[in-house]
Amino acid sequence: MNPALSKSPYPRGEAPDWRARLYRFYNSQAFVAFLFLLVPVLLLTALKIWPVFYNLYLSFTRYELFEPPRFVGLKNYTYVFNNSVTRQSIINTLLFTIEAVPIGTALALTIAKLLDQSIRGRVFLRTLYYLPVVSSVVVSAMIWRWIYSPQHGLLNYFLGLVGIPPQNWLNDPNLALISLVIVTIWGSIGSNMVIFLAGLQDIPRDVIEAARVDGANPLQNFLFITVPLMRPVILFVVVTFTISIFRNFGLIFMLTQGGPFNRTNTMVWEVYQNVFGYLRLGRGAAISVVMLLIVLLLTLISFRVLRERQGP
Amino acid sequence: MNKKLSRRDFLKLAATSSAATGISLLGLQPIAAQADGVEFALAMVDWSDPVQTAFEETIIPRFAEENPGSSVTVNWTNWGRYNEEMTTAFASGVTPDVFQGGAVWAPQMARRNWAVALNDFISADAEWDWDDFPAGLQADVTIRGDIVAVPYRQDLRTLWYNQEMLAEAGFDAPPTTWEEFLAVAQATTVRDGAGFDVEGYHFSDASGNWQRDWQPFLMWLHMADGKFLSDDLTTCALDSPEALTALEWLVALVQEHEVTSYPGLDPQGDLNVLAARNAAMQLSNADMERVINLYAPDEVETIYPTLPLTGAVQATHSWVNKFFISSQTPDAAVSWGLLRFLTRQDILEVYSASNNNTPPRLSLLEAEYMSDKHKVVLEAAVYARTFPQHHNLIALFRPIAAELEQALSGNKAPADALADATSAINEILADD
Amino acid sequence: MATNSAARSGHPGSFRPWEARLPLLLTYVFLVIGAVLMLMPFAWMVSTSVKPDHEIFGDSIRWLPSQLDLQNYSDAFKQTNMPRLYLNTTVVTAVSVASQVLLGSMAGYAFARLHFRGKTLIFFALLTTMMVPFEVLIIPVFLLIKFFPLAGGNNLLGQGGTGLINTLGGIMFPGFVSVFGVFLFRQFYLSFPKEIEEAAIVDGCSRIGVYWRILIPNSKPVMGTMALFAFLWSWNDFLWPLVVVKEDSLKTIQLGLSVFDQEQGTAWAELMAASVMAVLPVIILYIFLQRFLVSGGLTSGLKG
Repeated sequence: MNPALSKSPYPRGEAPDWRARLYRFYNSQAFVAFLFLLVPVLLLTALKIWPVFYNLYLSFTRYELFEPPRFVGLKNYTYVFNNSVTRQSIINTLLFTIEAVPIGTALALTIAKLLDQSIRGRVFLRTLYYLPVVSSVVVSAMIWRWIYSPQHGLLNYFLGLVGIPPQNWLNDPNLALISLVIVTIWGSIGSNMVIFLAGLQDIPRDVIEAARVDGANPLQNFLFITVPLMRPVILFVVVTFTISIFRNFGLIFMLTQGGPFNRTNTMVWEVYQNVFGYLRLGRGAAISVVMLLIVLLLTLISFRVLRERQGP
Repeated sequence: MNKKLSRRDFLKLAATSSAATGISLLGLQPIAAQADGVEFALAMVDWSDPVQTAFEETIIPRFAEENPGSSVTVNWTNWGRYNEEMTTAFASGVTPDVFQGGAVWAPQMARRNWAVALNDFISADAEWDWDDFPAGLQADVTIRGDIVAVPYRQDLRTLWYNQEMLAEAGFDAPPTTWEEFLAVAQATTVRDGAGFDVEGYHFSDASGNWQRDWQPFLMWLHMADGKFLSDDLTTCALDSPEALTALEWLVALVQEHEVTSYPGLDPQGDLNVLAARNAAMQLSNADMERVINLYAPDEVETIYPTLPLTGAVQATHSWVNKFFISSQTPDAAVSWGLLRFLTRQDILEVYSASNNNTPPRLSLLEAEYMSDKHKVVLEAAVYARTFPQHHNLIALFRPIAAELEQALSGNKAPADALADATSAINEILADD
Repeated sequence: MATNSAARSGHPGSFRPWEARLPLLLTYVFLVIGAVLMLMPFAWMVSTSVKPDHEIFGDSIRWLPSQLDLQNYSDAFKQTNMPRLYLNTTVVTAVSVASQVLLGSMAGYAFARLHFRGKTLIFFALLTTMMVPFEVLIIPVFLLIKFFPLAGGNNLLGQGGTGLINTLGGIMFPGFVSVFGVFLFRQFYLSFPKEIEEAAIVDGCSRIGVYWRILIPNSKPVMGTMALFAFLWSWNDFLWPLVVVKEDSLKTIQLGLSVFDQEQGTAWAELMAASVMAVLPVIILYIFLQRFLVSGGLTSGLKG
């Protein structure tokens, strides 16, 4: 019996042909797919695909919003790479990455490895480590602004206990970026840890067990067995972590506003400044495009490595 | 997958979502102006607790009283984010009717056509009395003949000093020239190893704000008779010998004479460095008096202002803050009603007194709250210069602020720093 | 896995029980110190939020307040207009969660189960957009919202008004659908046993019926994951509301918090109280839904 027609109120064969055809159309894969994909695809085109191209277009124009964009060729790009402030924002973003990513990733991997055993309270500990991730960047920034406070801050209090004079964390040109790096690492350990925990479950236990039997201590086991096996996951974390640093606007907005003296002026902040500070949308678009290219490059590298891993 | 989500739940979810979307898209849009009165939106940025109190308890209620049916919604912001916030507002097309602006705002607003020209309202409103504003302030808000704003405060800075500390060091009068200033600063400085117990001169606080070095430098630049931009506003004038004199002088104060620390000492909570006796002299505005009266009553009889120092010339800077009417206000004449109210003599007195602001109206110079100290600050007006009327000053300040930090922390020779700043600023000017 | 790792760390029957336990002890020491460091900022926030001012600015650090001072909460509640912030954020978050779950599951089903022309192309086009961070698209999306046709006084061409700027709809708009959600649901439906659907089709169920009666009711774990993520993104979003919202009455909680008394940065107790109020709903929800997070969410990012 034709299942498609079984619900039809008409006995088989008596149904008017157009109703069967209508039902067949209604139940066709193409129609259902169209129905189900129409809204999401339209929205994503408007929000993700069109903006990429429009952004690219704007990056070749001078646009101050109240007159139509005027084509200026590569002028915005030469500005981005020649102007000392924008160039510094690129350097700052990379510095931020270099300072935060290695330490943050190593810490997250270590904690994940230690939590990946059936020890008492591991779910509880995992929850604690993840808490900074669910807290918003605004709340995190508020808390840390208070911890970094030069006069009554917790951090200077601790430093005082070991005899280090109080520091002006967020306002000292030499300390501001480090201060942001600390908050970033604190806020990201949880999410990176979860990815590592998932990756650790894919490591065959017998390999580690064999190494242990051969006399490897836990540290050797971790360094020479776990880490090499986890290389693709580590790379994945490094890439996503780096991208999250490129995107980090809230922390800078809340804590340093790009200062002191542009020391924490990253690319995303520079976009915001150019667009909403100086109303230079074309220039902001050009910086966005540079950012996007760096991010895409990183992502492609990570995808390639992941595919190699999944290959065999 | 143990429990099944019932279809009813799912339907509920979907219904809630669409209902909520509907409500949010339609229902919660800002309420439009009511028919029987006008709802004004006012953006305030010169924000402190006493000002907020004065507005909430006196100024806004009085406006409501005088204009039955009208109401004013005040949006408080701070300077750190104000420029971006206002730019976003204008870019979006949703602006307040009346808004405050800083010293560099008038040319920018005029250039972008974001401020209503007030000439007609002002000339038709004799009672409100534009002539009560000093000519210098009038000039500051007049761009190519258009009056685009009304000043509410002149942020005049002059030299403040701790009389007792000077007396202990053997000086019975404050300095008047750079040489005297240096002698006093050297005599009052107390070193503590590599650091300072007392700075003879407090250059600036250790804030992270880019204005930290730029604002005091600007005053020294004026004293050296230097300029920021050429008179025709087309080139940067910071590569002049005068500017070099000013920067070398400041760098020498930090590195050679060691009479000021860089970055400066921190204020101790609400006590500024002068009140805490961590410094003997500082360039500041009348806010110094307010803070000392409030937090350091013991020092009221020791801390005084004096007239600006004389370098090549006797000079200082005045940051003129003002109110604008947005070009997007539905009815500029109606918004003028609010602006004229806010800058009317009696209201401006309440506002100025709340924060000990230096008033922009001549008739308020003898106002009750104007103390003898404040009158000294006011005398400095004669020597004050204001910003050149370029429409892109905020962007132009950026390179010099960064170079100042380099020079003052000893990473760059003053001449190189100024040359680099000049070329960066010229680049921005050429791009306009 | 559990038995396996127990054997690894426990070393049952070892000759040197003390030495064997040392690694475990060190593990605990490290993990607990780490957890304390992670938690301390929150503890400090809560502790500050219930202290009277003189204990906050005292000469030494007080870990616990001498008495519970809830005044800060009521002050912060009034000063930030907290009910309004909660209401706005809740509306925005609810819509965005519902919409992301619904649209994500629909698109996920289409990509996992249906064959149609251009599927691979569309799929990879969307896949690519997952690499594009929202932050770099802020200019075009801002323009899209401003020139949104027929909204906020705009005409059909998007001219003349303010579009969705300064509306809750404008805040929500970029959050209606997430590519991540589409992939999450696709992944889930791919692993869903086909036999059940086939049986239903044999019984005469339509495709939409299969989706509706079989897949939806069985999607609870993936929906939970999606809902949790959508909730976190939406509740914690900052840059976008900052750009779209102009009025206090439309601010979301993050925005309200961020502008709360920044200039006079000394009202720390109120600031911390407001922060507690902003973060509490998220933490509560997280504690209830965290199993979804670990089981479904992030691992699929690896495999997707």
